[in-house]
Amino acid sequence: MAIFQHAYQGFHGQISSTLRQPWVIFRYALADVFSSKLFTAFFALCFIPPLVMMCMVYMNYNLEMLSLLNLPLDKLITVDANFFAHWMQIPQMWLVFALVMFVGPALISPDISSNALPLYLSRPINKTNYVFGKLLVLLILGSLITWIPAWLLILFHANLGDEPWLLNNLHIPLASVVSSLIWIICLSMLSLAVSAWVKWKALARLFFFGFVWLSSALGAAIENIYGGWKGSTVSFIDSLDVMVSGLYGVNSSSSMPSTASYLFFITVTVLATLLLARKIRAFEVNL
Amino acid sequence: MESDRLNQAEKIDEVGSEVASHEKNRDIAEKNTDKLAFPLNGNGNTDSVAEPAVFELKNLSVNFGRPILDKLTANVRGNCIGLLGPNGAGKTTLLNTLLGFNQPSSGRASIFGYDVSSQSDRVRHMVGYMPERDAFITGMTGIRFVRLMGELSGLSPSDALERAHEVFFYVGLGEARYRKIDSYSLGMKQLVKLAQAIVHGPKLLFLDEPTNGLDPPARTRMLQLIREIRDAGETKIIMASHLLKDVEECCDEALVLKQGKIAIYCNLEEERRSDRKFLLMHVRGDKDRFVSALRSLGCDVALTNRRRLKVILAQQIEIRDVYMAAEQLQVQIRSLDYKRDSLEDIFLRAMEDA
Repeated sequence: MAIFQHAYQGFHGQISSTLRQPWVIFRYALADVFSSKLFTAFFALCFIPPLVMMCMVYMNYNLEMLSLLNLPLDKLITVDANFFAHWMQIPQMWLVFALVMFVGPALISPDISSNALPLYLSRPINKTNYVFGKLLVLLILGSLITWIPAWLLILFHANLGDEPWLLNNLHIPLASVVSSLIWIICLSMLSLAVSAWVKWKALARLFFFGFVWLSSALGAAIENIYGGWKGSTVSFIDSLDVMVSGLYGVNSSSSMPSTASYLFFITVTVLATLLLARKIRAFEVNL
Repeated sequence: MESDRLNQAEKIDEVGSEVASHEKNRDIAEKNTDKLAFPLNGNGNTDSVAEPAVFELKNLSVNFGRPILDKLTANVRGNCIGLLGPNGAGKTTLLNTLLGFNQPSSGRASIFGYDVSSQSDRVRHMVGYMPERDAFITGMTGIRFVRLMGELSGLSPSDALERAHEVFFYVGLGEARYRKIDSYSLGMKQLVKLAQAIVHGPKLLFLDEPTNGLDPPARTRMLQLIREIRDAGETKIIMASHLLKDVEECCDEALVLKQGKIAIYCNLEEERRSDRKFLLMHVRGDKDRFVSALRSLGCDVALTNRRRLKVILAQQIEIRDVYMAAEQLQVQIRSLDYKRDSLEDIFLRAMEDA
């Protein structure tokens, strides 16, 4: 029907499968995220640390440049699991935290506060697809600043070295992917659940920030009072450090076992999922 | 003739309001049952008619701590079905259940033969929904919002964009389609809600209070659009409203709910065609006995207020009989007027009977 023909006609074209719906939600949400210049600038800045790391790795193999810059050879950084875990992975993980805090609450709370959920859920899309579409935004953006640059750096380092470094350290790329995905999924689900709960973007950001940092402060307080590693079981900071160190096979600052850190992330994710399942609905029933 | 009148007068004296009201209720129940009870086959389709019902309810109950819908059974057909009832009657709950937002606590509901619980995916491909409350995505332009809704309904991005432009022009917002929805007036927001509901050309369109908050010209425009969609013949419409006039202007069937039950289900066209003699009276005197007397004569009576009666005369009854009954009971008829039977009368009767 041409737009000048102002008469109602049904649609007789092709209807796609419901599997495409999360992708539609992802596309629109991603476009909304990048409509903010502030976020675009922040996201670009997230690639600077991996670039600096790449330069450091490059300098490690370039004696001419080292002598040109007059840098002592004995002060060079050793590129090993510790380098990837503590110089690359953990700083990027905290950039993910900032990214999720900025993006996560803006994904769901506007839909809930402007009553858009009945419009989504009256279409061939269910709660799981809706949340998955939103989660995909955080998962992909988070991956782009954590394990994907880490893999590029690993490949770059492996390419520059003579010995079969990569074959001897295959656990490093694996640790990078696993630790990044656990962290991204846990934080993303938490931010989505908090934003579904409070329904207000700014407040959701504050709550999310509070959850992560207050839990860590609480963990530190418990450790100071009771000693041991029990306080670390409620701390995001300690759990992240223990998980990353455990996967990379390097020393951690906490004595908590790796299993406890996995348990912590699983518990947070499950609780967030349950809260989301309760809050993502077409309408609230007032009894 | 005279003896007939005497018999009728005797009947008036013997009036028992309970008996009359029971008889009348039974008649209405039988009339409704004739319409509601269709045999169902395995697919939920009817055997008697090729086209499946728009929606079917089989002992459908919905509870939210207390019963909201109570064992509804109906087989509803028609191009535009009005869902009527006072506030809290269960209209929106029934719409939500048909859309799959609520799970029935017992019984089943189906749309075009597809179960709304177990085949919700198929059902949602066929329906469009215009909610009662404001429902938008903040910060989006009108066209982007409707395009997103089209894509979520399964249209390709290019089809969705084309259709979004079409429906924007159709609802009369073509010039405002690149503006952010937040800046739209209430009337424009209602039209955008309609646009997103029809962007994918649904087979069934749910409209929940579509004229809410509209000024008279906007309301007229909205009702005109609804009638055009109905008359195009590609989309069936279920319209929940508490505005009887809106339903009367657009719908050919009406399902009236009261306290979670079906008070009446009727075909408005048939009701209009029945051309029953209809009186509007102001009376003074023992109104209750007068009403009972009229009912014993076979008339339908609705009380609109303390002194005002609406009476649908039975076939064999003349106005003279009404005057005789009034005389016998010493009731004054202060005014009497012929009027056409309206949805309001059907609704009021249903509210009294249920």
